Amino acid sequence: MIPQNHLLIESYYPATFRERGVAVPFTTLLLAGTRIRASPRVGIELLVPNPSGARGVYILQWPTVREHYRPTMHDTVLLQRVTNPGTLDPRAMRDLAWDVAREGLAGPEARAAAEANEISDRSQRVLVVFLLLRALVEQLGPPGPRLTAAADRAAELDRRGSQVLHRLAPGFGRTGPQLGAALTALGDVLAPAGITSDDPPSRVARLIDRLQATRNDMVKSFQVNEENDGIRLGRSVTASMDTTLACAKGLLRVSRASAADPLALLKRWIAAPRQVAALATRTEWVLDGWERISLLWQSARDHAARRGALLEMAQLVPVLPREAIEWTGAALPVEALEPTCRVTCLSDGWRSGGAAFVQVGRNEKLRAMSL
Amino acid sequence: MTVTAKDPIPSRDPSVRALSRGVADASDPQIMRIVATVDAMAARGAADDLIAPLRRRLLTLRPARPLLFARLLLFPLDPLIVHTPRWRPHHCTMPRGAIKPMAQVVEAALGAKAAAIKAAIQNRKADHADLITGLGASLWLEAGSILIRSKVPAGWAATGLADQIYLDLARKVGAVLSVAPALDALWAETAHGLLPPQRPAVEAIVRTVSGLAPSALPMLIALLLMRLPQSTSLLHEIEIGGAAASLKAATEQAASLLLEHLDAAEGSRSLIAASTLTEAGATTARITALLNELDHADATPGRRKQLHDLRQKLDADCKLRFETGLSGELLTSLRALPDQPEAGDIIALETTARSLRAFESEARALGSGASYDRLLAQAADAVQAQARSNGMDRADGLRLVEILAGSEAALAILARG
Repeated sequence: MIPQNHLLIESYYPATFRERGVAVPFTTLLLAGTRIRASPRVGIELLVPNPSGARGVYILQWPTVREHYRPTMHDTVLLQRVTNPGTLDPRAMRDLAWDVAREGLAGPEARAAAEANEISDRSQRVLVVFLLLRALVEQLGPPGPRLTAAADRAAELDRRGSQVLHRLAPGFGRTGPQLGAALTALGDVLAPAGITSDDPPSRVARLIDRLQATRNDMVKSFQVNEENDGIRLGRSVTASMDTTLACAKGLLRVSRASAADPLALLKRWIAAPRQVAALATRTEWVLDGWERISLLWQSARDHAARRGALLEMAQLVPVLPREAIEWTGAALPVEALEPTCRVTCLSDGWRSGGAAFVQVGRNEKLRAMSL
Repeated sequence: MTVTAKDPIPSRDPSVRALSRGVADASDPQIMRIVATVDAMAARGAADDLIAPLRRRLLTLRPARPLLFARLLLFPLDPLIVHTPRWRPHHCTMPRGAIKPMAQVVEAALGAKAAAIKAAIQNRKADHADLITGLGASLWLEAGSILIRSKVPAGWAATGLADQIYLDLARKVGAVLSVAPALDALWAETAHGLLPPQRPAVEAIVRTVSGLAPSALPMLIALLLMRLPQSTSLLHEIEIGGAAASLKAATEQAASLLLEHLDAAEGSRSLIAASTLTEAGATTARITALLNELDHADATPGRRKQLHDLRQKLDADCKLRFETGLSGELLTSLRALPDQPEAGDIIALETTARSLRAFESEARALGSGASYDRLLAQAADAVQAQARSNGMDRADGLRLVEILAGSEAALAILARG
């Protein structure tokens, strides 16, 4: 399938998450697990997992992928929309992918999911901005009754919030409305992760919960079935899940803890918005690529389907870059950063021929199940 | 795959023969009513002869049959059950007349357990796969042991078959039932045939049956090859003590049975025509795999010719099914779309289109690629014309074109704006 002159990079140990690339929700079966990253020479390069399932990736450009993998219309349009690869992160990829889904190119169910997620995201942003403003008012404003989101209190929050922002603004070299806009922008950045532990579940928290539930369900199913190669493979996948979940939960706590002092956070945001945004997206980098793995398990209804799903899941388990150790401060052993089992395919029957058409439909359903 | 009788031998009872002639001309809804009435009878007797001529049509109509104890008991052997007058002792099949006596033997031996099973399946239909697998897992093991040890039951004389035939059949059926749960587990482990079967699992099943009743090996292998034809090469490698020759002979006997059925007048056509498009694709893949597996270096020239002829027959059957699916299912549904179709309408249409392509992908391997290309291109044109006329969303129309004609065709239309 791949021309002989394309090099397979067998020892693939990215040092950073940017080097690892951003997972792309391609619907083409053979592009499952593919990531993209910026390349100074060619703009965008794709890291395509070894189709056999063995170690390594191919680093390819889109024209080669288009020629040899025959991507779906959805995938081609999605990649055409990536105009700024240097700033691409999991969040930006998600936004792009939902834009394409909203146009109907991943099917009616994904379109409906895109519209539902747009509403959910907007609600979450409004909520987080409210919570930030409330926290700021409670930190700095004159004492008053606890503010809730109820309509009768919203006007009170507006009044007191406006007072606080007008009081702070000169110190930031801004007007009150400008500081309000900055607070809103900060809220938008923090919204996916949420800012307090008693938020209605934020998207990132729900992603973590989903991955945890999948992991627990897998472990439970292994206890029921006899020991066989599927179980050993499954345990390798859940071991990687455990490492990722530990990192993700720790980073989420850190991200939310930063909002405990909203004034200091606002100062950091005004001074260095990119740094604050980078910290806020760390959890998503760690979780990047795991949602699909989780959905494969959840969409498999019986033992036979789970058996097939497990083989696919194992091929998608991402390598965790060493940067994860720097971010979390955790003493993760190097061997915990890479999957311990691999699946190599001797036959492509499960993803070629007739099966490929059915699997594209399945992949589009997974898109519709995504957060 | 199912082994069905050739034309059934007419009943000896003149009144049943007369009724059968009338029934054979009945419409599909009438046949469904007749079958439902017979299924509801406590003692079917001659009524079974009445519906015997309809069994081929029932393959297409596929009425959901009531899940009775006997049907559950012998569910794993269903593909090998044939009309009694057509059965021969050397076949690796089972006569339909043996069902009732064997079921009575097992039911009597199980006592209260049988009553509990019957309560669990009351008013349930035989298309309840999970229920069948769940209840069958313990029933089949126990029933297998009962049948192997059983003596000739009182009701056997009514079958018109010799007592020794019961003893031989009961041992064979019992041996196969004993490994039925293991066969189900193997099927699940291969993700329903998408993955290759593991040799240790196949070997364990073969050894078990060989230990219980070596004469049952052809039956077992026929069932195995129907679901997992890629097991053929594994069977050549398995060693079971000094019985390698008998395993080879059993494999050949099973293969001959399956090929004989495919060779029959309706053969593969009845299997593929009766199926949904999704099932037709899976069936085609399995038959193709079987033919390929049997086309090995040791195959005789006569076998090679038979396999070649079967591939051509299968190719013709697949083209017919594809054309029926395209015109009768996809294009009919497309033309029936309301103005401003809803999401559910589009999803159903896409599912049909994908099933058609999945089937075509398997069928194409037999040849006739150019015919499929031409038909798919015509279908893509029909989609575009329909999309323009009934206000279908542009993306929905493009996706249907993509499924039928490929992503490049759809992207070309998208680029034109």
